[in-house]
Amino acid sequence: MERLLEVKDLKTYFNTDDGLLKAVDGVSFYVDEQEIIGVVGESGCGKTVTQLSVMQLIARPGKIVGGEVIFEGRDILKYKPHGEEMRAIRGGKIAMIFQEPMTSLNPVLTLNQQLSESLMLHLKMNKEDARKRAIELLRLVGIPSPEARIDDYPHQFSGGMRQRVMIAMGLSCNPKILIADEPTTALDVTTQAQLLELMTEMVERFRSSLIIVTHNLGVVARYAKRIYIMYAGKIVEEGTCKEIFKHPRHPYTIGLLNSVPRLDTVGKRLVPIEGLPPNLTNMPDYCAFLPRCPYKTEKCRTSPMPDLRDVPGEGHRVRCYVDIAEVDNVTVK
Amino acid sequence: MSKKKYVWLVCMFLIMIALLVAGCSGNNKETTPNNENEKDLNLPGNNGSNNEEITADEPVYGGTLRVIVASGPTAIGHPTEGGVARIAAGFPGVESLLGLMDDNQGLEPLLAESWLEDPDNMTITFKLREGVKFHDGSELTAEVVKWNFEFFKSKSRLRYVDYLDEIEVKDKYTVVFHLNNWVNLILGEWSVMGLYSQKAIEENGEDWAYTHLVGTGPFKLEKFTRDVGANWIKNEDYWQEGQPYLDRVEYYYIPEQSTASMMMEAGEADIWTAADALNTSRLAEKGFVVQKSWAGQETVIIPNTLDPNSPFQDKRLREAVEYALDKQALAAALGYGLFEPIDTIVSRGMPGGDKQFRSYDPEKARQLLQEAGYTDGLPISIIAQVGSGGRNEIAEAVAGYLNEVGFKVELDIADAGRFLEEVWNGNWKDLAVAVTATTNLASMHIWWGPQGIFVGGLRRPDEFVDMFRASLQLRTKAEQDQAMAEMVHFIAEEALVIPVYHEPVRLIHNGKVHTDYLRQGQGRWKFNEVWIEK
Amino acid sequence: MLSYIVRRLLWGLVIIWLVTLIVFFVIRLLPGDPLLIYLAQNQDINSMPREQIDALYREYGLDKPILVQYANWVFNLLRGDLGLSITYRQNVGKLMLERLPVTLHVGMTGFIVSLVPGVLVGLIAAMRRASWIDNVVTIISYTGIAIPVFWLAYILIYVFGLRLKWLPIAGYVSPFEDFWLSTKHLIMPVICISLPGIAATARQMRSSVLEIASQDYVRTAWSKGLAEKAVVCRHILKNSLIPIITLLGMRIGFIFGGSVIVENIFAIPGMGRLLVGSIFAQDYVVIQANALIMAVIIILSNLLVDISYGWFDPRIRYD
Repeated sequence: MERLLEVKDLKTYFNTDDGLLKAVDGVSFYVDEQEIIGVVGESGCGKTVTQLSVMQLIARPGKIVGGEVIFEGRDILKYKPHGEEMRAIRGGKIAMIFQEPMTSLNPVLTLNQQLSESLMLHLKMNKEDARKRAIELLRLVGIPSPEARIDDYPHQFSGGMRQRVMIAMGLSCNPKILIADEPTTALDVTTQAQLLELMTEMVERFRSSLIIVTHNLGVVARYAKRIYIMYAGKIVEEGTCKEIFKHPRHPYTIGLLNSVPRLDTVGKRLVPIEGLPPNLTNMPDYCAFLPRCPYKTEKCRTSPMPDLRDVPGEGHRVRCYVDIAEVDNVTVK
Repeated sequence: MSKKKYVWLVCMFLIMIALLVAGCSGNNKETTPNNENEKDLNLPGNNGSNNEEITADEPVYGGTLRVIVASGPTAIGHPTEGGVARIAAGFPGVESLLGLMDDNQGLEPLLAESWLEDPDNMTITFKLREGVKFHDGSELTAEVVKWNFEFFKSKSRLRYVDYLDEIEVKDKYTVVFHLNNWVNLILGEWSVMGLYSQKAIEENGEDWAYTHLVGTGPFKLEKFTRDVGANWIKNEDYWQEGQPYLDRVEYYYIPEQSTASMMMEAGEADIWTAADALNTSRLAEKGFVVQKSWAGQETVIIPNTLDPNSPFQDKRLREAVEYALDKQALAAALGYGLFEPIDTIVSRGMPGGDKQFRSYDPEKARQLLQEAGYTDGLPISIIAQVGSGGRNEIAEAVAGYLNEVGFKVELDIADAGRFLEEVWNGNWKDLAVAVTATTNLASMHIWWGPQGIFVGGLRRPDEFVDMFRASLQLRTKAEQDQAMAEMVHFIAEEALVIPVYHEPVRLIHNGKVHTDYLRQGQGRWKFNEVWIEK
Repeated sequence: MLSYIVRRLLWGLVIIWLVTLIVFFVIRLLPGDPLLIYLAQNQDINSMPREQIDALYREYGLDKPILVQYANWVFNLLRGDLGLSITYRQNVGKLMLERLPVTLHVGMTGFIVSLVPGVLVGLIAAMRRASWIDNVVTIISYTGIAIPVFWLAYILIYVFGLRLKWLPIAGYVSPFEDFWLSTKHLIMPVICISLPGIAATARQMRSSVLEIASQDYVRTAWSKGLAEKAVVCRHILKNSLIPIITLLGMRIGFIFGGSVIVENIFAIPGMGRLLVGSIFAQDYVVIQANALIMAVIIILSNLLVDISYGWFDPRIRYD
């Protein structure tokens, strides 16, 4: 079966004053129709840049230097970033909602103005129809009395409400894929849960695929079918949700899991990952996680960055020389 | 990164240079007026003989004369408001009973075709020219003259008003001024006051007259805008046959020297009457014609001789100041060839102006200072009115010379308000640098008389006051000039005022204008005779 | 909203009262006597007996104690009487009615002219950041801010008046009299007034746009697939104009400050020229009225600026 979206060996570099910053360095992943996937990693690991690269929204000094983004059979990286074909995809076929609901809506435009503009652009609606559709969308995402509130400004809504608006906006043109970049990070925990529920419900209703980008494995655990773990611009582990949670193979994944509160580990202390993410300029040749890795061996130090290799389990691949499942099973559980 | 900044700096630098070059390249010769007028430079001189070349040409009708002056009046057609600026601004349209003659030679008939001054019966009688009409059609009659003078009087703008008993309308064209006392200044003062239409002012009110003018002159005021200018059109019914020659006269009030200078160069104006010395010499080099007058302003230093504590009660110190000054050098340095050193309070052509009392002799100055007992030098202060750039170059130069001979000068550059107040009240300390204008008995009276401007600080010895009083009774011009010379010499002898230099008033024109303006001083401009070459 | 405006206006009155205090007493601290200057300049001083001069002092109330003079002035102000000018010997209100429209004509034209190009140039520079356009704009705007107005004025006169002879060098013509000639007279003064404004606006606009362009909601706008024009016009422009409005409010004050120089160089009969003349003549009455009118205009324009914030930024509410 043809993938809906397939990213192959994507490379996005930033030419900074301190040198070349390889924010995304050979990332490949795919999404199928109506599939929910998760992309997980710490801040600065390149997960957001990956998605922005898909949308061709990389601003200077960033530049997509290699790879392919095949969407519905076409490499959309070949389109000009501000050309008509790319713009038709952006917002129309692939929509994105962002981390900060407080700042991601334009403060000087009403909800109607902000919702209608994509409807008028992509679905060629006229003003009245767009307005009706916008009201309907707001109702769908659970904004109370949307008719009355559609002419309000963003600052008149709470953070959770605004993120609902963002979801409505993202889905307004029936996109094939919705990319949600840390959609719930800035919100309190109860709102987070509600929103995730809403979002999955909505993509189901709209028959869209969903890419959830998050630093929190817990967020994707329940909804994502497959998960990609990113570290320092590379995917370090990928597999089905079940596999990743049951048999994490990469030390970083294990670290992530240990830092997330889980029902089956009540009473255990949360263990943070030691050290800091690496500086992405002047990366060493060897494994980027090595300085923080509790499992490091001599081989890790002397060998180049490992490739992703298949390990037991459906579609499970990991970028590590060490076979952790055999070395230590205790730390995980 | 740094390379980029470097390129930037170079760009900026080049732009600045380009702008500077554009701004400074004003020295290349222009395609402005003819260059043959070098000999006119001193025209009209004191003898005025060179002037014939201009008058020999046949006048041409038509054209617009565009005049730049520094500032306009606050009121143009009001008989008493607007001050001296109004008088100058009204030259094209306003005339008086008598007119000033060329070269300071006295008065000649104008709206009065004859006059009789009778000191014994204390009357002055004017016989008006018949048929002279104001611009509004009303006739100039004895009644109108009387009304004008009553108006001046009611507004306290009539000098020597205390001498006036009554104005009698003898017949339609004869008006007699009855005096209670006779002094020779009265005729010259009153007969040159501009006359305005009684009808126009009575019908339209005084406020109207601030911006409208109805006189008898060769041009009618078309439009006056304060601080902008005045437009005049030819008076077709002018009483002098065949005149005026011009169709229009336009005045522009331009306060900035550089702006005015560039307007002249651009050909936007024909005459400029307010150029400073620098611009005058600059434009003369470019081929513009400079006409100098015998009249002008005298820069003098006035020691405070009234304050009993002033060291300048000592005549030796006053003399020392004059000996210390190299006036020739001062005039040359500040005047760009226009200024002339003076030896008395009047310029060298005026009555009394041709005698030199003290010449530059710093050694003598030093010696006088020693004799006066100031062996260690004398700290003094000089007050002067602020000039351009917050400075006063004359005062600075004078201070330099005085410091050379043992004075220790402290400069006090005052704004107009404080300067005038100190001068008027006479509370300036030591020396004041002042600009005066003395050409005849009347101006002697204004500047140096017992009620003169420097009344508070300048000592007028009884002897001088007596001379002054007596001079006012003299009847002929020759006698008056003689008396004036004596008074001028008295002041110089006593060194009560230290003369420095004379700055002649002048105008600059583009070589096409034919006018003898300034031959009558600044009190008259015969616009009816002005014409311009095509 | 209404109560806000009323409150602001009341504050404005307090400020105006302070302005009257400062202006009135500061100019009286200067040495010199306006009547004396007036009389001396017109050489009337010798023709007037002392009693006549004293009568003039009484006419202007200058014989009274300074506090009484102040009280009289304020009292007359409240009745709408600005007083009698000492040099012009006319009601100052009447004078101001002559002068204010001229300054407003030149100044507001300059203001408006500086607005559109300033905003546009700054916007373009920001959108094409680090391109040659941006560099040129930056150089020109720094130059524009640094250039002294009088110098610029003479350069313009030299180039366009003297060399090219395209424009009249000096003077003023009312637009109701001859619109075309009036406009020709206006061009150079307006450039002088507006160039620093254009430069300052462009600088401010550029940095404002750059800041707004990096905002999350602009990224949202891009992610909707909007064309550049739509992103700039709908999402960036209005937001980046907010700091510009503050700047514009301040520039209203510059119009009057700048008019002093520009009006003298170009011989324009406005408030600035009147003020210079009045200061030299120490015409208290005119200086006071001039300062007062400027204060009122600046206060009103600031109020206008503050109210317009509300239109540009719905987050601001006045209550």
